[in-house]
Amino acid sequence: MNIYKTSKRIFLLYFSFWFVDIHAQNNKADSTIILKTFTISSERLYDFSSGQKVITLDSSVLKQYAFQNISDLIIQHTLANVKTYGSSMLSNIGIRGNASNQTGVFWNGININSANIGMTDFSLLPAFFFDKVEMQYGGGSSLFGSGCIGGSFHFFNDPIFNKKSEVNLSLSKASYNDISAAAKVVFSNVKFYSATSAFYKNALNDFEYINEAKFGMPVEKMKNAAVLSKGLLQDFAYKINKNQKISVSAWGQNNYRQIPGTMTTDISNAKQYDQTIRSVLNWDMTTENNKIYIKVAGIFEDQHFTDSIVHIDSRLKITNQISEIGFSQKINKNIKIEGGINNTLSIADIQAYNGLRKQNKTSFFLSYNHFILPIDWLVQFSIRYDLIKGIKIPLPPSLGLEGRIWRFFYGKIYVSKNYRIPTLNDMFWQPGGNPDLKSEESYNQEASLSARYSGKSFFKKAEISLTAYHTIINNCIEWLPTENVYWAPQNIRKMRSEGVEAEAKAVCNINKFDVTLNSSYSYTSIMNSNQISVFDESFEKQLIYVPYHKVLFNINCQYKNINLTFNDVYTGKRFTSVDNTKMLPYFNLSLLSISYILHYWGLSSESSFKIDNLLNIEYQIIQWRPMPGRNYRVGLNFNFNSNK
Amino acid sequence: MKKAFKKFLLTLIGIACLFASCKKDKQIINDNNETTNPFETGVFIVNEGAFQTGTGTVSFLNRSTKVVKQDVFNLVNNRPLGNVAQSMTIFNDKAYIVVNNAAKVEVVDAKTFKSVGVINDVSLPRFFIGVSSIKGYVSSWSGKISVINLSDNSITKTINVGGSPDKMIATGGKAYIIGSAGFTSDSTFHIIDIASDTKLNTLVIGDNPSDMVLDANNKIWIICGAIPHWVDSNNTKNAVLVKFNPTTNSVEQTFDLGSKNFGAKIVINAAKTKLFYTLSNGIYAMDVNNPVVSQMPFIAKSFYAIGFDNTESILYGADPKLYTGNGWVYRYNATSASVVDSFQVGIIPTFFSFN
Repeated sequence: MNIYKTSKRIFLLYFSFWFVDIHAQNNKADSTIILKTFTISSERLYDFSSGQKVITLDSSVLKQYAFQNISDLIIQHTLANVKTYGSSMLSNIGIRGNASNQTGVFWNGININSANIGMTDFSLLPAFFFDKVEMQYGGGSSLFGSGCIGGSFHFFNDPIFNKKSEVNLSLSKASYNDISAAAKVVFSNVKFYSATSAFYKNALNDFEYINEAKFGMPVEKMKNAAVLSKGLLQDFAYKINKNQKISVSAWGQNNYRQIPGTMTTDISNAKQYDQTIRSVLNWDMTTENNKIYIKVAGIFEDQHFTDSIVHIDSRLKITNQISEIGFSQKINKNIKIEGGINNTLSIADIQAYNGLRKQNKTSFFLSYNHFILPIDWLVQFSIRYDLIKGIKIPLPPSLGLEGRIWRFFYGKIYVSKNYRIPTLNDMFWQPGGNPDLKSEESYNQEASLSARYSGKSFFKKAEISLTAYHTIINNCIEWLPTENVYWAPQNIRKMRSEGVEAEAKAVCNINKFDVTLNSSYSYTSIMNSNQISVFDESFEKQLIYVPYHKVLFNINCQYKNINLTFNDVYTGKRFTSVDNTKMLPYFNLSLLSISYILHYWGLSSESSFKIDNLLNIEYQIIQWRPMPGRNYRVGLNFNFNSNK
Repeated sequence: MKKAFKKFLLTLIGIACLFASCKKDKQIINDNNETTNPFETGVFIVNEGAFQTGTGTVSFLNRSTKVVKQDVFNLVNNRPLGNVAQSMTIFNDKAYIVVNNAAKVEVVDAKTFKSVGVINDVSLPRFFIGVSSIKGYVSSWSGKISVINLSDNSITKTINVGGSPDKMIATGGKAYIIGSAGFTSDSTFHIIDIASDTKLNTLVIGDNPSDMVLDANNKIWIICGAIPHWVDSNNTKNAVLVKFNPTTNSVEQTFDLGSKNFGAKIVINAAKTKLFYTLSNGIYAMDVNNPVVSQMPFIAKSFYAIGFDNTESILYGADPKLYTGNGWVYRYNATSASVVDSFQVGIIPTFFSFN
């Protein structure tokens, strides 16, 4: 069967299936109300992102990935494009077909993308460490700064006062010699909150795969693919008085992994050590109509890669010092403004940079949000100004609108200009680094229509939304060969992307079953829209490794103490050559997970069992990088808590 | 409630359909209904393949029909060549394709391109040469020369020479090997006795020797592209051409080429009297019997690799263009320097082999 036809059929089916019954959807104003209590770090995401599309992965989803990394979670639950080089291996994630360096990554409001390459390896983020994950689609530079062209991810640890104290212990055993353990101790009263989380994972990842790159397609076992990961996260929060609060989050992680070769290479002894320390100190004072805050953060990354076969021994150390001061003010019942100043100093100590390199960035940002009561619409305007000596950075304004159109139909419009500052690597890598690079800049526009329905009987809640977007990116940085043998980056490329996303959600109740259905579809087209030479075969061709189609389907069923989840992700064909003549076929990854909770003596235990790649398919995300077949995970969790 | 249950059933059917339409169907394209020896005569172009995750390919030009076939290894053998294809040597009717990162040398029948064996466990191999009817050498950037038993493709011995041994020439019972600037700034030149498979000598003849040829007078011409200084490019020396006498094991003459090219290549014409070498701005020509460094390029276009086809006296130049997409090959008349034609090949063409 033709792959294209298949995807088309799925697309049609998807819609026919949802339109049968549901007229419904997602309203942003709703989430604004629910999330009023969040810290300043997320305030920008909620109160000033009118018109934008934001999805939340809450603790109930995160819990199912307690022993896995964020990459594993995102591949299953979002429309983002995950490029992972193997189980627990380097994972680059982009939104709406954009590159991972055009995607912002934030932890408690601070940018954790590496200053060196402007991206994050999502396999190094344990899902266990976060209380909530938000994914914002589309341009976000006016709110979050450089690199937010395709969208951004936001990870949060939320202190909750006066809730309960608890001790949580989890153990897991999974296929391919994977042993994981996680623990969390929470103490909380009216004034004080402390949460200590620890994580350990040791996996060999020695799965078997069919090596279709070799003569006779032999079954081979992964070699040199082990991972050892340890991490500790400490949160403190203290209420100084009625209005003032201070909080600290400190996160240290030590990760060792072997890097396997590809299917076409036989031997590898590459290894990578990643050590990171990230900390944020936040003070805020909140009164009825205003809030001021000061935030200080430090990030230290140390990455050491060795490959004795090709004689590579490279080490990079990067320090980021971030300080931010800001405010938000309610002018009246319907108007709110927010603003502040951020300073980020990045220092990179990398051999190939020929000495220490520094980048000092100062940003000024201001947002205005107006609730137009008579028509029930929110209007948002934001702007940000970044200042770095020697780099031309565009001014990125954004305008967002959202509100009710008619009855249960809601609309959103978002127009923005966005940018990405050249990374230290682009500017200083020897040889080739180009200190004269300009920022990439994009013009994004999107609109969405949604419907939302609440009922009492079968469908308690149903939502459906449809989003369309169009983006133009200019001055894209691309490394090209030069006459001097080495490669050098240039602001040479123009790109254009457009796409459609559809999401549907339903919560229903059948007797004692609580059923949640979640489903989404994306069509992504992203291509180079200028031809940089007559031999440029990528002109007007889809970018490599970006699927046109992605479909997610998730059903969760809760019956008494039993929870059952089925998840399915369809990823369409992806081109592997710039002229779109070679491709990887589509794949369909399914997952089944069941958990059972028992309560006794003030203690609760939860046993879980999960089957990944249920259909046992052979697939590759990156060409010649094998992925595991059907695999299993058992988990056991004990929770002691004292409800106050 | 009944109505609600109907809806639920409908949803389930929807899910079922979703899966039904996702059945796996693999297609294998095979249009290899050609003559029995489709590759008996022609030109092979070895393409490195896309950076990092790609696989190398071999393109094939039929001289008479001018038809270029792409990825002939995969076409015939239904599997990729591997990452990164480096060179190909035809010896005793077999083609030895060296695949660098895959640590192997694929052995195929030179006429049919059908896989007939593989030399495994040669870490970072670069070149193959046959040194006798039963013996071959594989140089590798792991600092070793592997001695191959050609009857079963096994490694019988490894000769440790150090550095990054690269291109090899066998003449007068000895093998001459340049130690190129692989990972380290290697500027060595090794001599191996073929009968005993032992290293006789290591000489220093110039900075970063990157290619060499043997001429009609039994002299070896070695081009040394100089060692790159990325940070201070003014500090980089010019490329030199070294005339080496293998009988006396001595350098006879060294020519300053007036310019630099870290990956300089050199080829020789059919009569073995005229050299063609690359600098960053083009291909230069030099007569071996009247060696004068020309200030003007013979062909003013830079190439990643060059080749000389003795059958047609045509000079080949490989241009990888943007390196991410397909490269191009340009053919030139070796006397007039006029362009004969050009054609598209695989990603990063790097080596020519003529059959």
